[in-house]
Amino acid sequence: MPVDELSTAFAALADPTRRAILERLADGEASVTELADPFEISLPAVSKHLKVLERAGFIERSRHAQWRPCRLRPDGLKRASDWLDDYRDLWESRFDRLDTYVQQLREQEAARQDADK
Amino acid sequence: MTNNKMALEVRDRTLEMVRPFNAPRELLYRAFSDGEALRQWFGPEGWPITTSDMDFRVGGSWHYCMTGPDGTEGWGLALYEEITPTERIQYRDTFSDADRTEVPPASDVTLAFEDRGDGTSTLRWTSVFESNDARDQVIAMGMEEGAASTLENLERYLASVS
Repeated sequence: MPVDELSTAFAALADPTRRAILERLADGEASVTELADPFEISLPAVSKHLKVLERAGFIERSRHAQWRPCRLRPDGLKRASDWLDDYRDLWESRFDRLDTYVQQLREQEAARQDADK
Repeated sequence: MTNNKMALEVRDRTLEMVRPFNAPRELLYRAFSDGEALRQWFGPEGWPITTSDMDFRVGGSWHYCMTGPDGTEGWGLALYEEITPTERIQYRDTFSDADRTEVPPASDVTLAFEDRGDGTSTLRWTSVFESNDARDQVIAMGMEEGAASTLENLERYLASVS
C-alpha cells in the first residue's frame, strides 16, 4: 500500500467520532440514523464521516436496501492494539538508532582517554 | 522487530517510554541536545532527517523535517522550556511546517536521564497531552512513519528472498 493511501487511512482513524462509529459497526451493521444516535451532530455531518471511512476502505455501504446499511470491511480495520504496536515499532527503531549513536560516542570517548594517557 | 528493551505505557493523557542504554547519561544528554546528533538517529528507517535547525537553550527550539520515501515531509518543532544539563530536558512538542508554524496536537515532553551507578543509564520519555483524543491522534499519526518503514523492510526482505 503506497504511503498516501496509508495517510488517508490514518487520517480517517484520527477522528474520535469516526473511531466511535467503527466501534459501533463492530457490533453489526447499522443505518446512518442509528450511527448518528449517540452523537450530538447532524445527519449530514455523520454522512461526511461515513464518506471518509468509506474512502479509506474501512466500511462499505449496501446498495440493495433503500436505507443503505453500513458495515465494516473486515480487511480494512486495524485494532487499537495494532496501532499501538506500530507506534511502539517506530520508537523502538528510533531508540535502536540512538543506541548505535551513543555507542559511537562511547568509543570516541574511550579513544580520547587512551590518547591522553 | 522487537527486542524487548523499550517499555511503552499509555496512561490518562500520557504516553511514557522507558529504555536502558549501555552508556552514562552524559552521552544520552549529548545525543538529545546536539542538532547534528539528532540528525543521525532521530529519523526512523526510510524517513531521514533532512532539516535539523537546533538552538538548544531555554527559550530556544529544534526545528526539523523528516522526509519519507515518496518525498512526503513531516516537520516538527520542539520548544525548550527547562534544561538541567545531563539530567533533564523539558519541551513543548508540536507538529510543524517549513515556516515553524505550531500545528496541533501538541504535548509537553520531559526527557529524564537517570544513571544506574554501573556506567549504564535509563531514558524516561514522558509526553503529556491536553486530552486522550490528542494522545490517540499522535499514536495514529506516528503509525504513518512506522508503517511506511515496516513496509520498506518487508519489501526489502521479499526482494532478498525472491
